Amino acid sequence: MNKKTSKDLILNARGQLIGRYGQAILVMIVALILTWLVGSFADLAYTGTFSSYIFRFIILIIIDLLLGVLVFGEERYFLNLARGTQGLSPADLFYGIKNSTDKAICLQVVYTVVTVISTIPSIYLSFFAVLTEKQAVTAGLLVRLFALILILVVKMFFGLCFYVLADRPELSVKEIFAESNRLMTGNRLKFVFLVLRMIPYIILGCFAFFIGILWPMAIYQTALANFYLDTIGEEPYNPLWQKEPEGTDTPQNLI
Amino acid sequence: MDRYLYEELRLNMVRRARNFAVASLSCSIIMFTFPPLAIVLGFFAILFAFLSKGYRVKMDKEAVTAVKFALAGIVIGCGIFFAYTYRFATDEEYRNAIVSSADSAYGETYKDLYGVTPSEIINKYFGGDADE
Repeated sequence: MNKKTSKDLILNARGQLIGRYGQAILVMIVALILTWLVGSFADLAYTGTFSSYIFRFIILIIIDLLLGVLVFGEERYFLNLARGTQGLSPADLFYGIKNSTDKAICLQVVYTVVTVISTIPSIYLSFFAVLTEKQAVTAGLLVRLFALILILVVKMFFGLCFYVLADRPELSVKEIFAESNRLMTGNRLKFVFLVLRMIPYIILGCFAFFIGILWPMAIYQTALANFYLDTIGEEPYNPLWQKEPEGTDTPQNLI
Repeated sequence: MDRYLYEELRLNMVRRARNFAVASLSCSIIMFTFPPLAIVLGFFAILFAFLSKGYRVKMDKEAVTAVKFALAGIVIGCGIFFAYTYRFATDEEYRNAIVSSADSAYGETYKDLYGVTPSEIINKYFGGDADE
């Protein structure tokens, strides 16, 4: 129990995805397109003034909260994939629309708050600071780095909350956060190693015209689901890790 | 699980993983026949080669060959790209020829579209003695 290293988790994720990359990538693309499509409606409210920017920002926050439903569906899909559930379908992405909708939205609040906090510096730089071109580029990169670190830190505490919701929907939101934090205790370093181990894959995907990033992202999501299974002490799906049956080399009589 | 099913499952997984190795090798061969996409296809080949490992720690022979081809292709592709970029930045005649052919192809001049000429951009960022 709880012995797998981050390398094992990625290796396991890679194996589980063999033959299922197409569907997993389809799920991620649908989620991405829906996020982009819904988010682009907020741009209609932006007319260039500060007030319209704030209005657009508020709409984006509401949309981000509602998209928690999709995040829940996506993470549940990858959890089922890691468990080797038969009959998985891309429609599982929309599982959260009918089930535990309110809790999924409440869990998304944490990530929305992080997004808001990480956006504050960029709002300040856009409207209240006068920067040269080079300074603006540097500031933009620093703001993005700050946002990434912030999200990583939050994930180190509440990164498993959607998996907990998928497994135990009877828990309240507060209990889910507490459970996620409990599971992450003692595994935070492993989680960071898992993220760090994925960086070369993601860089490779970026160089492959950014389309290549879809495969590493599928591996990352599945590895994260494996990480969750590892923290709760459940063996993930891996037919090749089962004990090889003893007997002759010839197939047995199935009757 | 009986032995027959176990072997069937294992073979099936290896077969499916090998598809990635074949895709990787295909990418690395195509990249040599279509140089403009050499760098992108090279990285695709390396990515697919890694994916072909599946549950295993080591890669297939095809995937290893594909990685070698891909690395060679990326190096050659980057070399060609930098050589052309260097020539574009330093050779005035070559730059003018490229810009004029692009202008005639699009029907509008680069200056009309972006307000500056490539020479002005090069002067702004890298200095040098590029023509106005």
